Parts: sequence; structure tokens; C-alpha cells
Amino acid sequence: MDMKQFIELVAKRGYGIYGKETIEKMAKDAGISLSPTGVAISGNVEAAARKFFDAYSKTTPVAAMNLKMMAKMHNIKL
Amino acid sequence: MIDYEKDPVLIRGTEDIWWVGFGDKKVGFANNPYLIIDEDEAMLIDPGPRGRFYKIVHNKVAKALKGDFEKIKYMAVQHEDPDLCASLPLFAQIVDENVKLYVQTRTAAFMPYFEYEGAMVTIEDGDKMSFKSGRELTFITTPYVHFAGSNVIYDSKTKTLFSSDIFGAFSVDWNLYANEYYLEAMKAFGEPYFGDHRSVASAMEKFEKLDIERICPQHGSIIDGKENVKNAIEVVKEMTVGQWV
Repeated sequence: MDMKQFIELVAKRGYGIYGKETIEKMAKDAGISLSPTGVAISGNVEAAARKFFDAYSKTTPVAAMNLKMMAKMHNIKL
Repeated sequence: MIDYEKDPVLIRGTEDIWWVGFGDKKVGFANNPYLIIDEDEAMLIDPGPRGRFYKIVHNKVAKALKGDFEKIKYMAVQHEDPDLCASLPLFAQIVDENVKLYVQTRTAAFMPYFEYEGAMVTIEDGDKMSFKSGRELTFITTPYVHFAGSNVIYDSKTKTLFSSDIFGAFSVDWNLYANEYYLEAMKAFGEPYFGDHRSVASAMEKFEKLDIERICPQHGSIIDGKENVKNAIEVVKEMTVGQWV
């Protein structure tokens, strides 16, 4: 799984927990565009991912736990 | 207009099952105690935590019962997490003095640590209880999902499965009924908290034998409708559990 696919997975999970609107805004602020066809990133993928994951983790301890869990499952280094 | 902060909510498709819980945005959790009112008797399932949360649940139960707490002749605790049962001794003081607490043997051992000193009926897999009306509830054990003493309760009258933490979810953006994104939120809870695929599969196998119209989990949202129930079971079966090992 590459970073874009992982972002998509985290976002999808986030829709259920935080609502689609919240996640889409969080992603947009990080320079990530989420759409039904996938993830588009205008700048550096790693930097955008880091920004998105930071915002995601800060929402609740539950979010941070889930992000860690998914990263472990998919062998992604945060 | 329902005020989810203050009002008990009658579960869609039933005439006598009430949601008396609360959403906790800070943690990203909804806690869902349920109240079955069967004629002049009631059962409170997983009464919930203490503190300000107890007050919320207490006030909702009071509204649903029109203040008559003594109608509660039965309580059930589906496992020993404090978010499910820390308020047990508080409710025990106000419900019928002969209240029976239904609890699995392996969970019963922990009830004294919640300062619950009332009567307990210990249950095992397939045990039943009946209201005076003849309505029957079946207790189904789900060992290690996610406690050794976990069980769920099936109400054959309404085809409702009270599923404890199974099918639960983390939800900041909470709805009483599951929406299109719920199955992902359910994974967010199940994956970190369920330890072993064999125990999950065993529980799902038991549920597949039941005729379930709705699932009422202890956290997250109610899964309504047979097709949605079937999809939820499939998702739990495929969950990647035990990943912290």
C-alpha cells in the first residue's frame, strides 16, 4: 500500500468517526483533495500526509490510536 | 423534535425498547444503555458509567418510566467495563428492591468491585429469562469478545440483538442509527479491542443463526434492517483483530 492509498483508507475510516465534512476539510487544509475517484495531492505527498495525520491524531485520543493501528496493519511508517 | 441530550428515544420498529444513552464527543464515543419496558416490568441493560453520565441516563430512564423506577425488576450487565456498569449500585438503590441482575458467571466475579451487593442470576450460553408477559430474552455468550465474561441478549419478540461492544463504533459525529459510513467506524473500534479471530468467528456464527431485525450495540449506532445486519456481520467476520500483539 502506498501513502496515497493509506491516506484514502484513513479518510474513509474518519468519515465514519468524524463525519465526511470534517475529514474533507482536514484533508484540504493539508493540501489533499479527497474524491470518490481517489486522493489528489498538489505538493509533496509525505509533507501533506504528515500534516493530515497530525490534524487527525489531535482530534481525540481515539483517532491517534486508530491511526497507529492502521499504520501497523499496513506497514506504514508515520 | 427529539433532544438527544435529554430525551429517551423509542427504538424504531419497537413499541417498548428505549435508548437511554448519551454521546460523548470528547472521547468520541456514544454509550448506549437500553431500557425494555414490558407491560409493568422493565429491564435496564448496561446501565452505564457514573458521574455526570449517570445523571443523564437516570433522567432519561425516569422520563421513559414516568418516574416509576420500581418498574425495573431486572438489570443486565453484558461485561464488566465501567462504562457499562459503574452506575449499577446507584440504580440498585432506586429500582425494585428485589431486582435481579443477569450477568455471566465470569463477569459476576467482578460485580462486588463495583459495590453491587444485590441479587445476581448467573447465566451461561443459551439461558433464557421471561417477563411476566411471557416475553423471552436469550443470553448468548461471546467469550473473549472482548472479555471472558461477555454476553449479548436476544429479544425474540422484536428480533433485537443487544450486542454489548460487538458492532460498537467510535463516533464523534454520532447518529442514533448507523449511516453509510458506520461500518468503517465499527472497524475503528473492533480492530483495536478484539483480540482473537477464533472468538470473533464463534460469536458471528451464533448471530448468523438468529433472525435479527436490528442490532443495538453499547457504543456507536443502531444497525437497523436485516440487510444492514447481514453486512455488519460480514464486516466483523473479516476484521483484522489482535493487531497489538
